[in-house]
Amino acid sequence: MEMKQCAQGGHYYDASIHQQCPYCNSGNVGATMPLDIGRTAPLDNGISHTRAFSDERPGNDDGRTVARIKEELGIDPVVGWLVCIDGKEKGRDYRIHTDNNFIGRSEKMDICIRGDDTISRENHAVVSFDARDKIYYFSPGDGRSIVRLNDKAIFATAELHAYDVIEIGQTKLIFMPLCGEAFEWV
Amino acid sequence: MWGKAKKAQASCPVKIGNIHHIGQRESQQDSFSISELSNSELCSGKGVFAVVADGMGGMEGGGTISNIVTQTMLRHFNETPEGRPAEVELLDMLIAANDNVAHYLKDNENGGSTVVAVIIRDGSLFWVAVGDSRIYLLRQGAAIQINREHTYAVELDEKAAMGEISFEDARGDSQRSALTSYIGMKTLEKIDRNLRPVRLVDGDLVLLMSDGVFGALDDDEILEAMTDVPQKSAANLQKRVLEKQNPNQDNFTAVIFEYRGGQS
Repeated sequence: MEMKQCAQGGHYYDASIHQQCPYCNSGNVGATMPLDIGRTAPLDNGISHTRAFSDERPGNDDGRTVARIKEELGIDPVVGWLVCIDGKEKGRDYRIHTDNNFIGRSEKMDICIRGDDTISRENHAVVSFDARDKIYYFSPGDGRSIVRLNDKAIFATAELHAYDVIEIGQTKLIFMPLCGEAFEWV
Repeated sequence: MWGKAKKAQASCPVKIGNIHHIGQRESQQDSFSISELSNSELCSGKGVFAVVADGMGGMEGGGTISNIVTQTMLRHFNETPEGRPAEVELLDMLIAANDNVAHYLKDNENGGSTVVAVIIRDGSLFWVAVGDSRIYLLRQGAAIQINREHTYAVELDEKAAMGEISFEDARGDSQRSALTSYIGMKTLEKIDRNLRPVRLVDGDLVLLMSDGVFGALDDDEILEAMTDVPQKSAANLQKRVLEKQNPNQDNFTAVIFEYRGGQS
C-alpha cells in the first residue's frame, strides 16, 4: 500500500490503486465549496437517516406515504407558498406541497420557521392542499399559542384563499396558491 | 517526493487509517478531514487533528453541510497560531463551523450535521462532539466510548431511571435515535468535550466514526477488526460492515489514529 494524503480534504488513500483521492471525487465530499451552493439531492427515502429530534409527523413519518401527484409526476412539485410579511423571517418564502405541510421550528417540519421562538418545535399548525378537490386548508396543530387567520382565532380547519394572512407565534405569513382554475400540475 | 513524505511521517506521533463509504444510500452525507501528517513541523507543534461529520437531511444537502463542517474546522486548525489551548481551539472551530452552516442554511433548505473532532498534542487527547457520532479510545484490547451522544434516547433512559416514564416506553419510543443537539441549530443545545487532557500511552487507538459504523458493528466486532496497523484496521472495519449486507446500510466513515509517542 502506498498511502498518500490529498491536499484538498486531508483524506488518506492508496495511491497504488487510485490516481486521485477517491473521496474527493466521490461527489460532494472533500471539495471546498462556496457557502451559497444550492445542491439538488435525491428525495428522502425515509430510512433511518440521521435526523433532528421532533415529534412524529402523522401520516408522513415512514417516508412511504407518497402523494398521488408525486407518484404520477415523479416529483413533488410546489403547489403554493407562504411568505413571511412580519416577524423574524420577514421576506422569506416557504414552499407548500401537496397534502399536509406541518409548520414548526424544527428541522423536521415541512415548513420550518426557525427564527421565531414563540412557534412550537413541531406541528404548531398545518397547511394542506387537497389535490383532488384543489382546495387549500389551514388547521391549528399542537402549538400552545392560538393561531389566527385574517386576525380571527382558528380552532378548526378553515379554507385558505389567496392573500389570506396566517398568524403563528409572532410571525405573519401571507398565502399564495399556485394550483387552481388557472393552473394545475399534470 | 514520497521518500520525503515517508521520512516526515516517521516523526509524526500517529499512524493513520480512514474509511469512507456510501453504503446503500443514494448520496454520501458523511465527510471527514485530517490535518497534514507529512508536515513534521505542524505535527510536533500543533499536533494532529481529525474530524468526522454526518450530515442530515434528504433534500437539504446533508453532504454539503457535513463538508462545510469538516472544511471549516480543518481550515481553522491550520490557521490558528500556535499557543492556543487545544480545548479552546476545538470549541472555537466548532462555533465557526456552526456559524458557517447557519450561514449556508439561511438561503437554503433545512439540515444539519453531527461532528466529532480530536486534537492529539504533546501526547494528550482533546476532543469535542455534537450529535450521535462517536469517539472511542482503544487501549489494551478494550474499547471505551469517550463522548456522550446527543440523542433523545439518553433523555428517555434518564427519565426511565428517575421513574418518570416506564423502561418499556423509553425503549419503544420511535424518536430514540433522533438528535437533541447538532451543528446547524441556531444555538447549540449541547456540546460534549474534555477540559482536562486525556494522556495517551504508546499503542493507544483513537477511533472517530459515524453511526453507519457502530450501527452495523457492536463493540466486540469493532475491537476484533482493529488489531492491525491503522490503515488495515480501517479496511477490516469496512469489510465487516459490508459483510453484514444490510440493504439499508447507512453511509459509514471512520478515522483511526494510532498513537506512537513512547511516553505516557
